[in-house]
Amino acid sequence: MGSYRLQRLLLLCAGIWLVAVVLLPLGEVVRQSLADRQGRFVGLSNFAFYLRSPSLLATLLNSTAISLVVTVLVVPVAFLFAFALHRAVFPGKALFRTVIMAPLYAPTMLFGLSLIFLFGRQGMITTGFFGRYPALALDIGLYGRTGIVLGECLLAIPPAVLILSAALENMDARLLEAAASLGSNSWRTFWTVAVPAARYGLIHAAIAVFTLCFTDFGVPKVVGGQTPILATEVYKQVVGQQNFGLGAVISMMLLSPVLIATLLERHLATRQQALFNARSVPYIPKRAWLRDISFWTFCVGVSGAVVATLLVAAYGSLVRVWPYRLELGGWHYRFRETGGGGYQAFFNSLRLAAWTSVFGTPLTFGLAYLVEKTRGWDRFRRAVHGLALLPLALPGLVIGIAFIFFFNAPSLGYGVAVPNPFRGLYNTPALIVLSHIVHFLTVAYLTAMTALRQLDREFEAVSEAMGVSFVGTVFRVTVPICLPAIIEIALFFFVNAMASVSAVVFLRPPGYPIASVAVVNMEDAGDVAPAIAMCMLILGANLLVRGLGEGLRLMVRRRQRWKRA
Amino acid sequence: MVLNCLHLVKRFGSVTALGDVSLEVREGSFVCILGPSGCGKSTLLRVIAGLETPDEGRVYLEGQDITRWIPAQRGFGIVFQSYALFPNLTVLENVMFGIRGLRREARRHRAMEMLELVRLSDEIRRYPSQLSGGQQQRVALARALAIHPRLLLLDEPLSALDARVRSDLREELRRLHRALGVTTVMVTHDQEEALSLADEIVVMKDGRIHQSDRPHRVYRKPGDLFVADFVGAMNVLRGWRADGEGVVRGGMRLRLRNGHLDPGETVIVGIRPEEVGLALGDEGENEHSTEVISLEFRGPFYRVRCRFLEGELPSSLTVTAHWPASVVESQQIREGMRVRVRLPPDALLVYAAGEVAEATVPAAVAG
Repeated sequence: MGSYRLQRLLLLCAGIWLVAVVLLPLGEVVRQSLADRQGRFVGLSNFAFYLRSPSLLATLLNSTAISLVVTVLVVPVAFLFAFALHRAVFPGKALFRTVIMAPLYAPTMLFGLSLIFLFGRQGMITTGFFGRYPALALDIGLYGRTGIVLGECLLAIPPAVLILSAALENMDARLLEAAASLGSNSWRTFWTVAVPAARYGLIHAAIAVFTLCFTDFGVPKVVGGQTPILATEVYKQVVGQQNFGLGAVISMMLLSPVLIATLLERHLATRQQALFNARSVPYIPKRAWLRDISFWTFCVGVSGAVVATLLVAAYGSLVRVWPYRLELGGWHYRFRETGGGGYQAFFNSLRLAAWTSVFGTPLTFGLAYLVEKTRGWDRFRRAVHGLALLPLALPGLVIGIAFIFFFNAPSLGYGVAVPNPFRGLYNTPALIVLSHIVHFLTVAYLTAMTALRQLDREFEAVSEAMGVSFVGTVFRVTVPICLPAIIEIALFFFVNAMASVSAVVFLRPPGYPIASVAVVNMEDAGDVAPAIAMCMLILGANLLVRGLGEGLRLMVRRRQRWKRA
Repeated sequence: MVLNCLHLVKRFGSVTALGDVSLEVREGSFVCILGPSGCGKSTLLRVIAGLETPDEGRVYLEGQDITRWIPAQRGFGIVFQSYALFPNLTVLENVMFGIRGLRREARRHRAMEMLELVRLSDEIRRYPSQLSGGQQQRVALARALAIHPRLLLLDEPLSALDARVRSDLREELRRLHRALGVTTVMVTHDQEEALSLADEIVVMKDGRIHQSDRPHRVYRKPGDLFVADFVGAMNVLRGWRADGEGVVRGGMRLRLRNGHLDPGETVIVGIRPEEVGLALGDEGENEHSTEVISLEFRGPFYRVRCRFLEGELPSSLTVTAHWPASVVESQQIREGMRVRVRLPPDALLVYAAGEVAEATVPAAVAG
């Protein structure tokens, strides 16, 4: 009986934990959005005030319009890119795949900062390469919508490519062969077979891109200029003016479309599973020179843009005084005469990312195990599963605000006022680790879930019948088999905790500098070069960790001799 | 009785997987639970194993109520269709996994014993992925047997294997059962498997037991039309009316061996294709003229479909016969030919007409 009791106890703990760190903080945002400054319930009047105020309404419209434009621009480009990688023949595909993912490892501010070096008032292109080629000088009026759209496009491409690649990979090659055998030419096959078959992937990618832009804080913070949008507005209201009520209202505005989109996406995901059968035949493209060369050129162009942005960022971080003294050196990497905290911030970030990884990985894997592999309490298990999926719909900014509300409240009143038992966490690095874990919980949880679902469903039943406790089975069988996925989850937590700014910007304890927040602070103070130097440090650390992780995975794969038949 | 299940009921939402199922398993016997997919047979096995808790009813092991026991307390060995071998453990480690309470040497010894029993002692250092499907299933068997199970439960253990391996493993299972005498309950949808392995077959459909009997009785005296149709092939001849010693249909008459039928009752007559005779001599009892409508070569025999004739006119009634290839060829039987078929009274099965294959009437349970 011990085994069952322990499983249920753990499941219960997991449920309570999720309620405490996801549901209650979120509830606090909802409550604050319905209250006035004195905390009295005022219904929807905050929202009415918001919608009547032309300047506030403009932020909502700006955010929506910009996100829609980016979605329309990015999804076709990402689809063609993914399509090229799957359906054309050319060398260097692995390189293209790797390069296009680079933006995932940098703080989003990097793309705004890099755009300043390219198109800003003193930008390389604005000044015609520092006056050397005046004929090429082009001022695109970066600050404002143009800058935000450009920056968001760059950082929305990798997730869109990832989603569309997966969609194309799942497609049954026999469909294409059938089309070809019926005499359909490749243009017609593309529009009548490939695009419709990937339609769920396209919708999925569109939702992901929209959500990313709608909630991103880094790019608009840097190049947003005078264009107010929701993400920067909520920062201004909460950090600048301490107006929590309005902050909560804007949070709800940020949250609602994302929540709707996520629900829609989950709904589609379940429908999509039914569409593909496990016996799909993978597609192996044949050479067609014209098509291959055009696709190759396209891929070079897209990944070139990404690489150029990163190179300009690297260059900008090394130039002594932009644009007057162009000699290269490490001046900005010393972080002297600037705020933010310099290397102390960087090392703090490394520590926080490590802790996030160390705590987040066993937590999410254990959670997924308890939900997927134990029996009984089915309704409770489904509820826990739902709670674990919820953070996917929560923008980092909303998590940050929710955590302020919840963990800073002196008492938790739900009918009766209870002294807040979690208040001790407020203004501690531990709360930041917790916010990172919540922020990235769902993706990690789903990764663990996918790995666990590939295991035979009867492992637990067999062990149970033999009288082996589930703990023994987990450590002897489940964990060793899932090790590659576990490493992937650990890397995911580290890299994202390192680069993410949105939740921590609200939660940074005084006197505890953090790298990504330091970027924001330095940029605020006009120290663009040190800010981008810090971005480069974060990117470098992430790429290094990713590389080490890949090495580790390779080692694990070597040791998993049992996989080879 | 080593195992006794009484009035088990298990529902999943609105689906009733088990609707009042009772089952007895004798010490040392080999019981096959046979039925089409979704009939509740796997649920029954999982309830016996303790992997599901029944909504109603009780399970007794040697007279002790074990309904609420967890699987570990029951000490049953289970083998699943998917083998469920741990891929990261070697063959030996897999078999040792469940053996407990012994020193390592003794555990290893016990595992080796089991592996010798399934003739895999040369493969102990290999990983499951390096073995064939049949070998993997034998490892799963060894693992289940290694814990000295009081009951061995097999859930479609042979279904994932190809035909040749399946028949080899069937023999292996029978040999192991004889050698160890361990009471075994196996679930299968393959009637051939059940007929060849079991001491007793339990035929299930829609969460109910239709018949439970020794294999040859299930085959020869199917309790109802469903069992008749599911186990082996059966001609179902509809539209007969009881009349004294036999049954009539239009101008046709069939004598039955023991006809205690109420005169006038409508009945269905069943006969297995291999029991349908080819009448060559003078006209005799239960013989009727037919026209051959199709011939299908099956190797040792032909499957011949014949349509009964009423006078010179074809009737709506057809019958399928399995006739030895030599006979069909020497008699030069072809499509369109007239032949006389014999339906021997001993081979005829009679069912009430109200009872169709999807019958909901209680199953005829023979002891």
